[in-house]
Amino acid sequence: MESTFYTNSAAAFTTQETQLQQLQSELASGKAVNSAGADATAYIGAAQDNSQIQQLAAEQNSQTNIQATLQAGTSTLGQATTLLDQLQSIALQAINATTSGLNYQALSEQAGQIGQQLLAFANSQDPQGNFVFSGTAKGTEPFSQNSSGSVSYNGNEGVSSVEISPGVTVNSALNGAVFMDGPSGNGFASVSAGTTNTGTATLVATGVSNQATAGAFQTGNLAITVSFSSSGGTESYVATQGGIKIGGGPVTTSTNSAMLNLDGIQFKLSGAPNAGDTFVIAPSRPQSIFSLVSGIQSALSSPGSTSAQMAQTRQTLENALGGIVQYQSRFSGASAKAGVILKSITQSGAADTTLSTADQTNAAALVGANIPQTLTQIEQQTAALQDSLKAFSSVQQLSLFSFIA
Amino acid sequence: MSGLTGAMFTALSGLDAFSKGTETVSNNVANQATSGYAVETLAPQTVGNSSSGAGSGVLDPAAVRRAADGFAAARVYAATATSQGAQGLASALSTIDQAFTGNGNIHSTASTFFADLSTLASEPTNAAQASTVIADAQTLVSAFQSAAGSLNTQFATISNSLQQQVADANKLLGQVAAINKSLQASPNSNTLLDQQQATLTALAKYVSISTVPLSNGAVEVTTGGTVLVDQSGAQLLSITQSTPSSRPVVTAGADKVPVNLGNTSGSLGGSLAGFTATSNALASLNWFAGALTGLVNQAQAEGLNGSGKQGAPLFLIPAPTVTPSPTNTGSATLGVTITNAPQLPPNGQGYTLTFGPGGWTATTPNTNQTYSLGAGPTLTLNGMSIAVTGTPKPGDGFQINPTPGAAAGLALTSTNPAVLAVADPYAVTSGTISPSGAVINNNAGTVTETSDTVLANPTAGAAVVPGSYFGQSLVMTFTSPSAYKITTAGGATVSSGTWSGGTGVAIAYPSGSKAAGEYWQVNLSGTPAAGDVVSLTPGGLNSGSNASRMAQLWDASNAALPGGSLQGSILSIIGFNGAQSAAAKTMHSNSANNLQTAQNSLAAIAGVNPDQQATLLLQYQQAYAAAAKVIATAATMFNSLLQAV
Repeated sequence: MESTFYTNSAAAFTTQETQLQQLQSELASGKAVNSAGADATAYIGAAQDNSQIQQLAAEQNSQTNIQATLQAGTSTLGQATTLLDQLQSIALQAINATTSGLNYQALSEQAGQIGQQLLAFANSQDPQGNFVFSGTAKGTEPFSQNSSGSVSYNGNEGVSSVEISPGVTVNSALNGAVFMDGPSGNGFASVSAGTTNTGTATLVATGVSNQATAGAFQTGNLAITVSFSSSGGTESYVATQGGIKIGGGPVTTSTNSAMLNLDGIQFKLSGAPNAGDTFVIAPSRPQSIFSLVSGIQSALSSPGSTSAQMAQTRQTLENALGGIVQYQSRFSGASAKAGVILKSITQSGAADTTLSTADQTNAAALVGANIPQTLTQIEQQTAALQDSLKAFSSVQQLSLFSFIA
Repeated sequence: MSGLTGAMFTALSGLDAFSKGTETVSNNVANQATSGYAVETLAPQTVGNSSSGAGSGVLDPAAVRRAADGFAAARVYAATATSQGAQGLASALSTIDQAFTGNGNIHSTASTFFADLSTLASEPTNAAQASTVIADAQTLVSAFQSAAGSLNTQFATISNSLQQQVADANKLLGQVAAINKSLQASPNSNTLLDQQQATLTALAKYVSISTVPLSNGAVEVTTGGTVLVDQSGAQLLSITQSTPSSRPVVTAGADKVPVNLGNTSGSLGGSLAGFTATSNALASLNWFAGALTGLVNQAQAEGLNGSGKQGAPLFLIPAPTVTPSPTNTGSATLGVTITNAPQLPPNGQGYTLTFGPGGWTATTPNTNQTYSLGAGPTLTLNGMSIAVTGTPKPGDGFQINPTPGAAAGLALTSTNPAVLAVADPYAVTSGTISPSGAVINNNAGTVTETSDTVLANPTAGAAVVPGSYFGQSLVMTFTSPSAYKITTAGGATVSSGTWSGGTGVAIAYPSGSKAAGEYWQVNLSGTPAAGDVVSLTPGGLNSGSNASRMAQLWDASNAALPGGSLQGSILSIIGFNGAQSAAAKTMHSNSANNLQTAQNSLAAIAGVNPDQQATLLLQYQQAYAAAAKVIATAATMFNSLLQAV
């Protein structure tokens, strides 16, 4: 055998052993591609997949975090809605009171308690200790009550964007506007009775006949004054706005009710106004739920004893009922909005899991070792190496010199 | 001479020849593993015919031939050089590949950093999560430093190895020259030729060589057209390197003639190619460190940090360097500021600026793309602003490195989690805000914030607030449903115009900040009523919007970046180097096979086959015995004759 037989055999053994080593490391690490040098395309594909898996995991963490806040928010709003329903029934009881023995004081106290509970709900915190309804000032208690009993909002309406799924960003910050910015009255107009009224009439905004005109009234600054007069046994009213008469006419009180249509808004006049009675119809403005409740509470605490005073109380309560309806719809709206985000989180969560699994499968297909195949290859390589060694061992004995005596 | 005496002398010449044959076999067997050794064979020749018919035996001493093949040997030299070159380059590229994808993987650590930022957006008040992000940033910094460290170590390793290789190659060149000299005294000596071939084979490991044999067996050696050994002796190699990171140059002889070495020109060529590949990889890594730093720092400036201040840079890289050409004659100096790091040339080579009659011209090394910059005092080039002071003269040049040593020098400006600019710069609230912080909302309209975003240009119709008012509390008042004005707390009107709805307020970032030129825009929906007020207050520290924006940098499509995004950029760098490494590995494996084939071809001609030698040995032994028998027989015959007399 020439000396190249030995060098070539040595080189072949090294190659075979290197391949075996490679297969063994594949088996040990479970990866066929450990660096871009092994297979750049596969490595990069798997790197992208792994990065997306990380992003998806991060988004799933985000989903969990937002979920906690939003669930705290929707559950609070649900409880607040129940309180509003109670408040509504208190107001209705007082308005429809036929028994003189109605305990207004007890109702007033109930209303006061509802107010305190609403304040506590509005200041609720999520499991992380963040205030739920303070916008992006999560460390600030959003609602504070001053010595006079009025509640102010100290948060903001800032936005906190969070990506919950690739390309899907939601605002995770709930703010206190839901408790503060509900419009007074029926959303267009808020009616108050003149303090010197002597009649038993109440005037309540009931509906809208012309959306555009009503909208213009609401965004404007001019209140309407409705004044009653009596001439020759006929009762009539005049409605003026900014000194200009916008309506008027006789009032038939025999049916104990009459409809007035002013600036596209319908008002129901109940009871009997006296000449000289006035009502002021103001455009709706944001009125906090706390001031709404405290208005009801104070009206109930001094319902008055004369029929005129009782009418004043009814007027306040009737107007407040409109405000309660506004807040009921605001709460359900805010709750629905949070619900939409929660639903989208649930959907994203499922989609993210699917995507993440697909990424894992793809990454494994790109760089993972095919274990059964690797095992087979190891068997083959080992057998091949053994055969080569055997062949070398028998061939190297072939030397003529060993036969020369 | 004739008769019995003649037969005896003839047989004696056979004894001499066959013992010479045995000696040749012995020499062959002894040298079968000697490098450069070519198998020798006995070439007996009869002594010239005598007039009396029978021959006069074998010429003494018998000739011995060396089985040399210049062509096969040259193939071995070439294959050796190629294989060694490929090995050097493959080893360097494998280190580069490992630097990017092995320990301290930059891609995965960056991915983790951005993923954790994304989670932080959902819980901006969680101090632990903010600390995690800072820890991620530190890990990312270490990954850059570790990769850069591994590449810088490779520079030193290659430089040292080059010195060693040059020393070894010079020793061999000296030996070739010495053998040449000896061949003048004993032309074509087999032993000297064997030594020559062994030395040349060893030399071919360092540089690719071409040989021209002379009649006495001496050789002239050249590499890439440069003479290394001629009749006057060896032109020794030397190596020069101006700085540890500049490409070394190999020269030959006292005149320092540059030697042109490709990546298949022996281990010297492979090492030099490996050096260049390392240098390019480091340059692109530096560029990426710069791009990442630029984008993150810009995003930092787009938001507010935990102290309610506009975010300061999070990452820090060494300042750009400007190196004037030593031949400059003008008085100009350049001051470089990076304005948009991702727009810098991604090969990391920076620019060469030259001043000519038409003003300044910038050239990107390697790609040779040129940009005409004019002659103004401030030059604007992709991603950079260059201030020129003094007066340049035509022919003056400057080398600009925008991100020198960025990967190795990358650092965090602070490890305090409060430096993360997680929050939006402003929070929008309907109504006014009293000094006590209470919101007073008497708006009749329905304007509310829907979303906010950072833009290079405000949306058409948006109210634009100049950057000088950034950070002040602002109040937007609708003077009518279709007109607005924005005032500061002091009452100064900073913006006013027609409100068309469907847009928002765009507040410019301050001019000195990293986000200069961009706008934070809040989009408003709903219809305003006259007198409505919207307050914009700096703060809202628990907004995660800016963390969300920063997290999206990783995958956000950015046409200025080579891979289409930040992630794409690092993957394209990793992929490029990985593919280079794979190609070099294949080349190395192929060249090793070629070398084996060339060696086998040479061995088939010049190698020693022990079986053949054994056969020859038997042949010589038996022939020797036969010749001895002839002498013995002749002696017996002679004795018979003497007894008969």
